[in-house]
Amino acid sequence: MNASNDFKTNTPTHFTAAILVAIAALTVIALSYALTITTPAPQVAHAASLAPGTERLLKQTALHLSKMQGGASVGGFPGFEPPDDDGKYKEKIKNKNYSPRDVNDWVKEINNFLKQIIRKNPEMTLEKILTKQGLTAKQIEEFTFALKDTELAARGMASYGVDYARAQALRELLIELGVSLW
Amino acid sequence: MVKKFGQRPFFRFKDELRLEIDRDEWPTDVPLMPSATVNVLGDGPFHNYWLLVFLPDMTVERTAGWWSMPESLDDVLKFYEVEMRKLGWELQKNYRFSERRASLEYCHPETQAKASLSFQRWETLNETTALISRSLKHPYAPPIAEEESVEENVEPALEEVEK
Repeated sequence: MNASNDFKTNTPTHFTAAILVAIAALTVIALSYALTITTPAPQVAHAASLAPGTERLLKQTALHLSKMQGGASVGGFPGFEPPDDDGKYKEKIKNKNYSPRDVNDWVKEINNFLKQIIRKNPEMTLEKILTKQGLTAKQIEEFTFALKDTELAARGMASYGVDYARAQALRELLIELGVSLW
Repeated sequence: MVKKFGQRPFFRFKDELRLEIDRDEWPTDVPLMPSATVNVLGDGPFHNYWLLVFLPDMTVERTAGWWSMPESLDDVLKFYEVEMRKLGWELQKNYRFSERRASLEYCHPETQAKASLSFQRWETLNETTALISRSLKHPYAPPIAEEESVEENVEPALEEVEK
């Protein structure tokens, strides 16, 4: 008898609970579906949050870094290719036949690009910027190593054709971008 | 401005002092291949250097050199992996970016020195170049005696003089 009464009193409660659970489950499914179709891929979302023009500046920086690497690609960006009709320049890049004065000019350009990257993306580290640009961890290391190498080399050539203040400025820009130099 | 002090050229800029070093002054805890020679660029040799950076809370000692070797990139990498381990360095990063480029980063557990090595193969020149830097941070605080002597030398305020 008691069991029968329990059945009568409990059944509506169980029924209501089951409906509520079903509604909640459907809501969760609907929400997750909506999120799936409206949320872009992480890389796309990251790239969108970089200031306009940053990609072009990074590409230009990599191009100048590439000049000291024999024209090799740096960080996945295209390497530097001198014009076909300029044999002297080709030889200079291919055989590291460049002078400290060339490095001085390249560092000037690199500093100029880095300054703009910092101004456009304040408070962001280079690692974060390159990650948002979609570079892999290995490409980020390659880009960073190339910058550190350029800073080391420029410092060694200072007073032999590289303006020391320029080498110093590169050091300060790298520190501002969170690149560890020592 | 470059000045001569004895036989050694040095260069001072703001918080930095750069001294040029010869091969026999290269730090003994970062090995060089027997075949390594100073890297030559279009205008001449790269001047390897010892840099002292004077920061408010530390002095950074940084040695940098750019070396050329006829060995292949693989052989150079093998040499450094073996020799650095022998000298107690711990490998922190090891990247082979391409057939022509690689980088290694080490830290020494005893001295906390850091070594960064970047390698580049130049096929047409049949050489591998290594841009190597070794840095060590030395904490700095002005000595107490120095602070006291500064205080002693401060001229008394005008009121004190009038008294």
